[in-house]
Amino acid sequence: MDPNKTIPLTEATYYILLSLTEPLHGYGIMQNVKTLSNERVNLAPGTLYGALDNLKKQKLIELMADESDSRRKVYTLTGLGRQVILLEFERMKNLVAISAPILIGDTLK
Amino acid sequence: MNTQMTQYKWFLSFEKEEAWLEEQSRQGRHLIRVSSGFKYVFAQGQPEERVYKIDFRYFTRQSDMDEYVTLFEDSGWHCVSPKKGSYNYYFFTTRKEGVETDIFSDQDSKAQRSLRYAQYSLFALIPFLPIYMAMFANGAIKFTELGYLTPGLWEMQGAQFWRHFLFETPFVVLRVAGGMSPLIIMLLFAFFCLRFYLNARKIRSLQG
Repeated sequence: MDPNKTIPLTEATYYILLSLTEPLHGYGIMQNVKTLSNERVNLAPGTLYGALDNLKKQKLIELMADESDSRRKVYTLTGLGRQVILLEFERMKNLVAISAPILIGDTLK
Repeated sequence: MNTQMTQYKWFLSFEKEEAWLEEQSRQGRHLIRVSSGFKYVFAQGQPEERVYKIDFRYFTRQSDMDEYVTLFEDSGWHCVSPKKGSYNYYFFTTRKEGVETDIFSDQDSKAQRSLRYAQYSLFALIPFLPIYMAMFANGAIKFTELGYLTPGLWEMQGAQFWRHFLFETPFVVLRVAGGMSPLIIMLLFAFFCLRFYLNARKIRSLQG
């Protein structure tokens, strides 16, 4: 699949992928997103489960082979997932660089 | 003493079903299981302020369902007797004053729940199509033979007419019900499908 077709990402999806740069289980992702966003983004379990299901189908994330606790499956980014979040990061960085001189009269480095 | 009670009910809206379960808990009747989608079994206890939320999902693997239920339990939701192969999953948590509690944190995933139901109804409808068509093809159902078959019935007068008419009526009802039941079931599923599809569209349109 073309990684360009999956961006832009929603904020929730971006945070989930960002969390999965390290292996985490579902509830771990939920807590990590809460911490990263300063408690602003609170993913409810039904929403998170659906998002993980979709990302798995799109092959952006995968299950870790180790199944020591099958009730808490551990996810991680795939190569494609890593490509996608980096593309999205570049896209947003570009947007910020373009907007900064126009909106706040300052050039960000 | 631990008493149980059973109620039979059928809902066409997740929101109404959730509100009804919350009202039951307020009366001290707490859900312990739902069978066949319409038989609700409650245990009598102390009245509680609970939030009930229903999710619609189907799991083919036990480990997938375990993971799903565990994610909810880790986030503070109890699942009412989860069973692989059921479609509705009932979650509840204690209501906190002034806090909006939901198992969905955006409108899109909430709309997805209704879409999954609509899709399921559509799939449930499909097996009836070939059955019904086959019943027509091999002559098991003929529309011309569904009505009154007594020869000369409509020419009869007075008591003779009523005697034959009333005698045959139960058979007509049975024939019509038998011949029409697959069609009625199909229409019912089509109605569920449409209703939940429209509900999903309504939820999506609320997106800010």
